[in-house]
Amino acid sequence: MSHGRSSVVVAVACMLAGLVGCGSDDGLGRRAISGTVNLDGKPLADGSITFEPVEKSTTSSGDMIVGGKYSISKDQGLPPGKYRVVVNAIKPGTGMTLPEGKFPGEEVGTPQQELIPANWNTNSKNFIEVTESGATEFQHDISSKRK
Amino acid sequence: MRRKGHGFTLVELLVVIAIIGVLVGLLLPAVQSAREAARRMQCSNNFKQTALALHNYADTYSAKYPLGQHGCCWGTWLVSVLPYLEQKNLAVLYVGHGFDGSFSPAPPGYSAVVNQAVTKVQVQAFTCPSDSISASPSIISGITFHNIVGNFGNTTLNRLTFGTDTAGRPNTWGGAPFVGLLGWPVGHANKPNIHPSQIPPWPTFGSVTDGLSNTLVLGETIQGKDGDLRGFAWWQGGSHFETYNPPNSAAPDRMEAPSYCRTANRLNPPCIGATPTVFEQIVSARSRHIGGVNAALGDGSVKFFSNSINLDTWRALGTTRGGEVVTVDD
Repeated sequence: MSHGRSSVVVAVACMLAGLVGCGSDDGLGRRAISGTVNLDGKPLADGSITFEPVEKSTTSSGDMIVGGKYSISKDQGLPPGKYRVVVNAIKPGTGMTLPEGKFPGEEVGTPQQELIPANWNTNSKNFIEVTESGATEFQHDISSKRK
Repeated sequence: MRRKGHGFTLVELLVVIAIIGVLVGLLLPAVQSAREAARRMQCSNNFKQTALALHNYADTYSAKYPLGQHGCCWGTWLVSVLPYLEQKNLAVLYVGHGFDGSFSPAPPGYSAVVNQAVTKVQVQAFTCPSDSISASPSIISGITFHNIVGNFGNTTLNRLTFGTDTAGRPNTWGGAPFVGLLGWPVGHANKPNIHPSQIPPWPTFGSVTDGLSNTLVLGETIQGKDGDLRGFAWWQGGSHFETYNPPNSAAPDRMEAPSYCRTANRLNPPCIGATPTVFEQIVSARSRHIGGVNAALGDGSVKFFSNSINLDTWRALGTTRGGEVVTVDD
């Protein structure tokens, strides 16, 4: 009887092991990245953040910013290296909308304007350094005063 | 203890069920991945057909690629290659294809009722079965979404210098097989007009100095769900991809209007409204396959590109005359 039970345990264990499967790894040594983005001290409600490699070409990554926070999973993360930080957000009250019953191409409104100063996007001088074992949580404090 | 008659004990039964469970557990993922592999192959075959159709188009029009986009709404390259995919009967139904904004009133666009005879058709050659069909009567009158889009280069839809390359220099547009007329016809309210100076030289096979086998022509996209307009390829904003970000990038795409992203549905990849102008649109190559995207090169070959492809290589493949040294591995 105990023999039978142990074989059941072994069988179930095998089944679970089969279900877990194998995680994929692309060999880049990616790390999960997360952080907060503040504009003039307040969390940036909506926007996007992109990390672009400098010095060494590997891959880029990014995320949408929601409520001042972003989080990139390990499989989409950044390999060790230096990255330029690019933050974009739409200035409230600007932007194209599509009236009900209209088709794309018939938008109304003004094109969306950039809320974030250029030193955080088109001319970004902000960088992060991702290392093999160092911190992967970052804080970005943006001031709308400095251009 | 002597058993009465023949039969299984409960334990024996459980063991047998467990063993069957293990075997099914092993088999199911294999069956699923075989099914996905078949769908991916069907997709790859569609890429091949469309890439060959571009060659046949070029044979007819002095080695030119079709123009990617005729303004916002007067047809994309999809309409141009239909006759070379044995869909000539469909192509002749399309009214007003090729309008260049030079006269008023403008002819009907892709959304006009007369053209819906074409734009409501799900063209199999532009569709990948790994993705589900997004077209439905409740979304944009049932106009179809597709999975094959044209390569507009390594920066933005507008062919501007955008961002920096990995050496820190400005990332300049290095040519692309597809270019488009941007804008709207003269007299259209609130919109930048199509202007002849915006018409770049039509790319030809000869202008691909990086070599046809080193240049992407077609890439994969996903059919946006719930009105997300990625893959809405009869319209300007859904017919292109750029190699600025790697395949299936976590970096958000930039669409013409914020409402064209519907990221509340988790099936839709990250996306935001483009800033500072609506022409800074960037859409990455994306797919429902695991680990990468299908794409066709100028020579008609179709390859599967990994999400972890080196960014410099991917951007170099996106240009027609960037002068980079690249080799495409299998």
